[in-house]
Amino acid sequence: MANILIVDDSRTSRRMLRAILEEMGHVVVGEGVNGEDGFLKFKELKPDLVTLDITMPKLDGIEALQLIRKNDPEAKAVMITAAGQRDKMIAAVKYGAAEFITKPYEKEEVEKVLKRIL
Amino acid sequence: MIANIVANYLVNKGLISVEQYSALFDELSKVRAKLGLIAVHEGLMTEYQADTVNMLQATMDMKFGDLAVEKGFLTPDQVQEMLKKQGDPYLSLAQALENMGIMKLTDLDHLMKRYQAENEMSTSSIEALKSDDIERIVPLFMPHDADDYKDIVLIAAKTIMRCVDNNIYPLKAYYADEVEALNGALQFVDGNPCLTTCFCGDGNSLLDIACEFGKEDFPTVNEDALDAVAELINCINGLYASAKSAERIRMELFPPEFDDCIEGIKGPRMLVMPMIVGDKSVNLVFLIGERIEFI
Ligand SMILES: [Mg+2]
Repeated sequence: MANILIVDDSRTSRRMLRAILEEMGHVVVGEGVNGEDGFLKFKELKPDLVTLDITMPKLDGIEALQLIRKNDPEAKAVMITAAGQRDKMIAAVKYGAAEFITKPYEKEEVEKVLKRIL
Repeated sequence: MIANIVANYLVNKGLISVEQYSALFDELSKVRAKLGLIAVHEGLMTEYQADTVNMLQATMDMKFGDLAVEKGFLTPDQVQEMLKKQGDPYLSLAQALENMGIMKLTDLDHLMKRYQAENEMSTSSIEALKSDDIERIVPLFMPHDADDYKDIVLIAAKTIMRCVDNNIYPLKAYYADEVEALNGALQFVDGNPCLTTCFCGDGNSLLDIACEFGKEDFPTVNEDALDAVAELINCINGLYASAKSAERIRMELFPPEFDDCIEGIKGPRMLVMPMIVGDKSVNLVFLIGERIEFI
């Protein structure tokens, strides 16, 4: 069981991911609605894991990842991507993303990914 | 898709009632084309011969194929070939209509000829329609000079079928600089060329998409519902970007926008494809090379 922060500009996506994570027994400690908000919530809540949507207004997921990892080099981040964001995924690996999950969410994929890093 | 298109045509022509329309889909979910119907369709037996074998079959404990071979109507090889066609979408539709006592295969064939004439379609287009292959059907509803849009329109249709409703079907697409709408969601994708994808509607036409994709019971098409529609568009555009990366075209998804209080959308020569989702018509609008904006 882990404390997880969800950062996504879409309410629908936050809600769907929260449902899957809670069903798995994790605790969603907070939600960020854009990259900037996500970074602030990360500093405040110090979660075990943060999920970062890539496409977001004000700081996107990659920019938020950079700030988060600068603040805490040990931070574990899972990037949430749509298909077709290969360049962004390469950048995310460079800045220390641990894993990727592709939208739309599939419960099995989320479970597999979290098992690998927690 | 063929079943929806034909069923919709039957309702519009007053040939079936709305009750029969929904009963037809129940029937379709369990029907398989019978050998008698396939034999008539293939021109191997007349309707009268097929009916005769069917009647004999009712009194004897024999399969249709065996009996038709015994009576010399068919060869065993022909029967084997016909068995493979039992799942054919058009023939299954014909069987369902026949089972419900609405019409026989020959009537349906006549009706398709009428549909073909009214829509000025070629025989190969009608064959494409009967194939029930979305890759062949969707382009039939697009303008002839819209080849560039084929990929995005197909990805959108397939993704909606996978994530929202398997029974959608398109209406004739057209170009427009403005489309009236009361609410909508759109996403700009930068690239060379760039693309905007927009779903818009009036009243609650986007509600089914929002509820199904968002897995939530939205009361109306409010901002939360449109957020769900926007995420679906994000998935569609992501898949498009993925397909384009195989052609070495780089695309960047921008955060989607949505608005529940608009007068419409605008953009130079947008491709508008009305799509029937549930019982509502939704406008799927695409523009390659420019932005679409809310008005
Ligand atoms: Mg996003």
